[in-house]
Amino acid sequence: MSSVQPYVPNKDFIYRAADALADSHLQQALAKAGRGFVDKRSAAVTRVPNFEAMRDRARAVRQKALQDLDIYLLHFEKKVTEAGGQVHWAETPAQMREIVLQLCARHSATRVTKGKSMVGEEVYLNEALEKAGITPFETDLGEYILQLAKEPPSHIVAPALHKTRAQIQDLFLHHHALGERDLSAVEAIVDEARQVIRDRFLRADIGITGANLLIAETGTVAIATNEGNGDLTATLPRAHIVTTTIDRVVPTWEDASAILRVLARSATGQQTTTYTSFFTGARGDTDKDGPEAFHVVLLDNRRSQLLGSEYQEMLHCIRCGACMNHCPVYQAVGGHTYDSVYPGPMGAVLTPLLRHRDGDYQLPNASTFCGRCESVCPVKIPLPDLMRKLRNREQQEARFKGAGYWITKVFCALAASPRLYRALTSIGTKLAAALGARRGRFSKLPLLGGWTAHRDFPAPQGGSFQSQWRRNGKAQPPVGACPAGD
Amino acid sequence: MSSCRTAILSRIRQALNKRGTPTDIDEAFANLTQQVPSPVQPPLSAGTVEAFSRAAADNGAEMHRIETLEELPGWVATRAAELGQTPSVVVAPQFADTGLQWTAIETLDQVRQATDWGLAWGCAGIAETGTVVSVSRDCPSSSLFLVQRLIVVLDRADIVAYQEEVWDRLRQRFSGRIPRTVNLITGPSRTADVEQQIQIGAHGPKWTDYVIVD
Repeated sequence: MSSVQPYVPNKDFIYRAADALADSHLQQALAKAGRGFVDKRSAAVTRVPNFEAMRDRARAVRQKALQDLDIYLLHFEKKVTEAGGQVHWAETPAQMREIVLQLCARHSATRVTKGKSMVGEEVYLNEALEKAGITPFETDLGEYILQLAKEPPSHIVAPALHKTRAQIQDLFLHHHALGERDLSAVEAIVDEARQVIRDRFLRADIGITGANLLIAETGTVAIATNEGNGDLTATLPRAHIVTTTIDRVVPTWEDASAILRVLARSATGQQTTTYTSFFTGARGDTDKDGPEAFHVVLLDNRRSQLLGSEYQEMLHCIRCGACMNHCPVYQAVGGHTYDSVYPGPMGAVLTPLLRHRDGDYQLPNASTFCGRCESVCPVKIPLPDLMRKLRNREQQEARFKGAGYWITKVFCALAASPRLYRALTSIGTKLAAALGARRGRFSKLPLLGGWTAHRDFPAPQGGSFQSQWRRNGKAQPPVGACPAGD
Repeated sequence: MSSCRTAILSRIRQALNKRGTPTDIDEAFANLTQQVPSPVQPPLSAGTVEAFSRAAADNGAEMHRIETLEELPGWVATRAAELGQTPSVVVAPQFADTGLQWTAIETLDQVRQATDWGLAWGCAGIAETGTVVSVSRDCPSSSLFLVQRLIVVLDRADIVAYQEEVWDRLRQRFSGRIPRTVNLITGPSRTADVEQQIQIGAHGPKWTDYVIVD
C-alpha cells in the first residue's frame, strides 16, 4: 500500500486542469457524482409550486441583512454575551487562528473535534492547531476521509466528492488498525467511521464547528447537517467554538426559515437537512446538557471591502454548492483545480476577491458563461456578470499585458469603426473561403490549435454575415433558421 | 482584539454610508425588524397531522400512533419484541413526572453504549418537512444523537404546519433566554460522502420512530 503524499497543486490553472482531465480516479469519481446533485435539486424544486417566490424571499433576506449589517452584528454580539457566550472579531485568517489557539489554551485543550467549517479551511485552522500540539479530529465523514488523505476539500457540501470508494477503502485499511475486514460496501465504510469517531466525540475538550446562519435576534448559531456530527461536536465538549464570518448573519428566526427553505433543496435536493440545530450561548442552569463555554469567532478577511462595491452580491451566497454542481467546467475538472477552499463559479468570484493571490484571476476565466450557475443560485447571484467584471479588472490591473489583452484591444478598435471592420472581415471571409474551398473545413489554423485539436473548423461558405445581410437579409426574414426553444 | 472589532465595524459603516452607532442597539434592531413580511411557505399536501406523517415517512422516519400516553411503555416493549431486541432505553427527564411505569424494559438516565435506544418527548412537530423539535431544557441534546434508535413522542396538538409557528411558540415559552440548544430532527442520520450514495446511520441514530399521541 502506498503512503499518502501531501497534495501540492500546480500554480497554473491550465496545468491543474490538464492534470485533472488526465486523472482517471478523479474522472471516475466525477462520473459517479454525475447528475446526482442536479437531478435531486430539480426534483426537489419541482415538488414545490412556489420555489421562485422562495428564492426571491431568500434574496430579499440577504439584501436586508447586508443593508444594516453593523446593527445586526452588534445585536448578535449583545445577545451571545447575554446568553453566557463571547464574540471575537478577526480581520485576517492569522488573527482567527490566534484567537482559536488562545481559546484552546484557556480551556486547556489537547483534543479538538471539528464539524465541517469552510471558514476553518479558509484560514488553515488544522495546520495551526497541529503546530500548537493540539490534535484536531475531523468528524464529518467527507472531511475525515480528506484528513486521512492529507488533501483539501474539493466541494463545499461534499468535500470528498473526488474520492472513489476504492480509494476510501484503502485509506481506512491503512489508517485504522482493525485487522482483516471487508470494506467493499459503503455501509461498512460508514459503520467503521462511526465506530472510530464516536470515541473522539466523547473524549474531546473542545468542539469547533462552522455556522450556516447567525441569527441576530437571539444571538443564535444555526447549523444544518445530515450526519449528526455537528451536534455531537457542539454539545459534548467543555467548550464550543464557532468559526464563521461577518456575512452569515440574518436578522430574525423567520429570516432564517427563508434561507433554510432554499438551502437544502438547492444543495442536496432535500426538503430539509436531517438536523437543523440552533445554539445560543453556553449551557444555562436549566439546560440538561451543553458546553460550559461558547465562543463565536467572526472573520472578515476582506468581506467588508466587498460591501458597497460592485461585488456586494457575492456576500449573498449561502454556500449550497448548486453553482458548482451545475457548472460544466467544475464537472470536467473537479474542485482541486480551482486551488481554493471555494471552487466552482462562486469560488471563481470569491477567491480572487478574498485571497488576491497570483493566479487567482485565472479562475473567473474558467467559465463558458453558460449561465447555469446564476439560473440555479437560490439567492440569484449574477455569477457570470461578476466573473465578467473580474475579467475586466484583471485586464486593467495586469502588469504585463498578454496576447489576450492586445487581441481584445485591436478588436475593440475595429468594432468601433464599422467601415474598417466590414472591410477586413469581408477580406478575411473571402480568403478563408478560398483556402478552405476544397475540403470545406480546416483541420489546423494558426492561434486556434485548442479548437482544431479536437474538431475541424468549418470554412466560410459565402460572404461575411454583414455582406449576406446587405444582399438578402432584409428581404428574407430567417424563418425556421432558429426554432423557438432550441 | 477590540481593535479588530472597531476596524471591521468602521469599514462596514463606511461602506453603508452610515454615521456612528445607535446608542440603543435593541431599539435600533427592533426598528429594523418591526415589519415582518408574510412568509413564503410550501403548500401542505394534506391536513397538518397527515402532511406531517407523510413528510416524516418520506424522510425515513417510521410513523406510529397511540391513543394515550399510558400506552407508551407497553408500546416500547412491543416495538423491541417486534424487532427482536432487548435494548436499554434512555428515557428523557420529561417523562419523570408522568408516572409511567417502565417495568418491561430497562431504562437509563444517560447513554451507556452505542446500541441503546432513546426516548424523547418533542415539544413540536412541523408538518412542512416532517420534523420534530426538542429543546435542551426538556431533553439532553446529546441523547438525541448518541443512541442507535431514537423514539420521539409527540402530542397531536403540538404538530403545527410551518417552522414559523414553532418560533412563535419558543418566544412565548421562553420569553427571556431561549434554551442553549433547539434541535430540529427529520428522520435518521445519513451521509452521502462515499460516492454520493446515501447511507442511513452516520453519527446519529440509524433508525427513528415518531409516535403521535392522539
